[in-house]
Formats: sequence, C-alpha cells, structure tokens
Amino acid sequence: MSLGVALAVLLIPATASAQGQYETSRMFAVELKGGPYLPDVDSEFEGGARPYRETFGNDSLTNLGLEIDWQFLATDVFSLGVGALAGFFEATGKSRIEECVGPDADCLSSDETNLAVMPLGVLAVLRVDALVNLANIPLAPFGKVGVDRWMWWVGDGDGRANERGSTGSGWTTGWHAAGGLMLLLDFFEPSAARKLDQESGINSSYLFGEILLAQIDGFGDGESLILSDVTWNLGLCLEF
Amino acid sequence: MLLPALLVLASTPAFAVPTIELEERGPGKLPAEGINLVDCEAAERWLFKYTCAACGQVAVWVGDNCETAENRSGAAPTCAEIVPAHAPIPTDSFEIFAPEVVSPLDPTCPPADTTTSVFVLDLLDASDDASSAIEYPILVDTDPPPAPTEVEAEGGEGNVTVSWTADAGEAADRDGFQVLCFPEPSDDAPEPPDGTDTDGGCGYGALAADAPSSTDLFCGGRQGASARSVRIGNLSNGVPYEVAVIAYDNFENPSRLSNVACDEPQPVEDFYEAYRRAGGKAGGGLCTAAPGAPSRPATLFALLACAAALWRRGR
Repeated sequence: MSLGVALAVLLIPATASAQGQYETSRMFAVELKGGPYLPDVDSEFEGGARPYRETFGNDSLTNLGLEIDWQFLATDVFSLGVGALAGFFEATGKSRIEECVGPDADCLSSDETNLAVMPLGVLAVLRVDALVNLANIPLAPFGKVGVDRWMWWVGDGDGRANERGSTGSGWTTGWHAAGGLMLLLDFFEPSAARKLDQESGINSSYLFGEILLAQIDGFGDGESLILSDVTWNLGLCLEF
Repeated sequence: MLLPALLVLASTPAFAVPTIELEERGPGKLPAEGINLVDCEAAERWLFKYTCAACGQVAVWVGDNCETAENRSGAAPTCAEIVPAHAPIPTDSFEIFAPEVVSPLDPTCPPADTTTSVFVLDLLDASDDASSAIEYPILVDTDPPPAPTEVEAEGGEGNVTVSWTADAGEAADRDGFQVLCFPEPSDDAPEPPDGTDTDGGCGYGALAADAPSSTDLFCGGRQGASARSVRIGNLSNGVPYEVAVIAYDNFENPSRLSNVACDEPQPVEDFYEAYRRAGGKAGGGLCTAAPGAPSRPATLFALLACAAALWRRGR
C-alpha cells in the first residue's frame, strides 16, 4: 500500500461506520472519571521527614475528575482532540499535639487538618477508532499527554493554615500522560444508542480505564508541593 | 399546642352556651406552647375570661371530662374545682396556675405528657352532669428528656470538641442540646485545680449533675436535635475546661446535666506546619507569583483559580 493510499484511509471522515448513517455530528467528548490517588508529598524530603504520611496516613484518596475534549479531527481510523480537565481530591487527618511524646494515637488532637487539591490541566488526546469502525470490535485504545497546574490548600480546622506568615496554599505545575482502553457501549445496545443520539445528541458512550502518570512536581524546581503519582482511573465518556 | 375551645355538650338552648377565652399567661409565652416543667415549677399564672349569661349556674373546673358529675364528685374524681358554682353573670375572669393544670387533684409538677382541659360548666344542679360546657384544652409536658450520656471532651488548639450520645428512642421528642462550660470561653483563666476529680470533671466542681443548669455557663450555642458534637472555640491553651451537656425536648424541657468531662486546649501542628517544619518550601498563597516561569496556560489557570478562590471566599 502506497503512502498516499495509507493517508487516504487514515483521513477518511468518520461517516462510514456501522452507526454512521444514523449519527449526529460528533465534536466533543465529556469524561467523568475517578480513581485512587496518593500524592507523593513526602518525596520532597528524600526519605527523611514524612509529614504527609504522619498526618494523613498511607491510604489512597479518591480523585474525581471532569474532562472536556474538542475532537478537531476524526476519521474512521483515529481521532485527535485537545481538552481541559479539572478534578478534586482531599486528604483529611488530625493535627498532632505539639511536643507530644508517646504513641501516635495519643498525640492526635481533635483538630482536623486537610489537604485539598484541585488538578487543572490542558491535554491532547489521540484515540484509535479503527477497531470500532473497521473491524466491528468495540474497543478503542487511547493516549493523552498534558500540562498541569494544580491548586492546593491546607486547612487547620479554623480555615486556611498558616505558618509564620506563609499561607498554606499554592500551585504546583507539572505534566501528565495517560493511556487506556475504551469500551464502546453502543455496540451492546445499538438501537438504544441511536435513540439516545437522536433525542439528546449523545453520539456514543464509552466505559474506559486508564493508567495515569502524573508528574506534578513543579518540573523539579524544589519549591513546590509534590503531588505526583502513578495510578489508574475508571470513567464514562460521552461524545456529542 | 393549644386547641381551640370546644363545645362538649349542648343540650340546652343555644343562648345558654358558655364561652372561655385566654386573656394572658406568663411573660414571653404563647398559648400554643402549652405548659412545660419550667412553667409548672414557676407556677405560671393563666388568666381566663368566661361568660354564660343564660346558664343556670356557672362553675369552672379543670381535669378530664369535667362535665360529668362522676368525674367531679364521684368516688374517683378526675377534676378539681377552680370557681365554685355561682349565679350566672355576663362576664368574669378567673386565674389558674400551671401546677393545677398539670396535676389538678394534687397541684404539683410530676412528670406528665398529656392534655388537660379547663371547663366552664352550665349546671342546673351542681350534683348533676352539666347541661352544657365549654372546654379549653392545654397541652402539658413536664416529662424531661433523658440526659445525654458518654460526654467526652477533646482539646484542640484554643478549642475543645465536646461529643455525646443521646437516647435514640427519644429522637421524635428532641429539640436540641446545649453545652455548658466552665470556665466560660470569655473568662480569664482561673487557677487550674489540682488533678482531676472523680466524676470526670477537672475538679472545679462548677458543673454538677444535680445542680440547676445556669444559662451563664452556656457555651457554643444551641445545637440541633441531630448534633452529637460541637467545637467550643476562643479558649485558652493550657487551661482545663469542664464541659457537660443538657438535652431539650420539643416542649423546651431541659434534661438533667450529663456526666461532666474535662480536657484542655493545647497547641497543635496542622499538616502545613508539619510540612514547613520538615523543610518544605511550598506555599504562600494562591494569588501570589509562583516560583519559576509559569507557562501561559498555567497563568490562565492561575487567574481562573484565583477568581474562583476569591469568589468562594466572598460567599
């Protein structure tokens, strides 16, 4: 197959799929997703102090996120998009009594403290639709990369924490990459999917899972709260 | 809740029907609130106006089914006389005190959750059933709720968190809780007592289960019926505080005081303080310049998030 033919196949507009003749136009995708997250705050201290673990423990948090993508190029073989994402997770624990000597449980006060994080980012998305459109297999692998700026703030039970005039809040920049697999739900209920499309404009719906590498460390500047983690997400994607 | 006056018997012509109207009761109270334990123990005065111009004789009784002679003068009466039978008059007034409503035959304040009525009777013969009567029902609840239990105090920085449990079976008749503190948050810290006393307090002895609850020691505001803890702030670190809780039912009857607990506020280290103590450098606020050179998208995010943060703070 010559290069020209290959390009032609890749760039065929996505109108010839099995459902294509019934579909409304497809431009956007909305993803709702969630998964465990354990920010690697203590890595800043290189094995020394562990303020995060000592305050919040070792349990993963639940990171919920919303992503909106604009699919500016969609063919039967792949789609390309750019998008923005926002999320939220929060760790809560008990403040420790100052200068307390004794077992950990005896040194916890009634005051709560929390670390709240709102991930924000922009990203590019590449999804391979060839299996769905050309082989009638309802699976679509995808990959994403993006740059991030995550907002975080610490509460001390009475509001925003402070330490010697420094407010316990800030931003951490970084990047992320993700890869995963989408399962096209329309494949299992095509008539319901067509009806949903005609009535609400939701073109396709997917369940998906992804592996996420989030390198949120201020690009190694040494002055940012490190919020990196390698984790996974599960979610629902709606295209419209 | 006070029910409207009810005509309970009307065998005589319409013009003989008596009337009754509440003119006033204790200050700051509405008729609809009925009588609670505080009202009863204060012997609250209720003043009524009544009429029965065409009655044979007029009498006022309090109790249950007082129109029946058996309940007024039988072997097991349920009613007590307030105004003896007398010749009819266009209008007159009488007063009755809360204990007479709560316990007509023995005007005291025993625990009761009932409705008692004041009757104006049209009597042709005082020993017979009334030929007509008007009834003014008054709700009575002098049964205090059970005291909260398992009260615990846990000191934080400048505060003590008070927690308690409450009888789940009393949930429908519970209006809220009130915490009592000693010393009060605004007080200068007194000399701490020596050691902890045996009832769980700090040794001040200011809060005792048998003592009447003084509103002077109320702290933390009134809590709702579902509350099980409250944080009392504006306290001094290093000072022991005694706390206890009382419950209120829907009739504002206070329970006895709970057990007394003691703890003292102390300086604590929140996550950010722990992070900075460990050598962490991050922080400084959301709307300050971030270290390094942020990208344009990052700057946009910062602006949006600052706006969101300021908006959130503004709410």
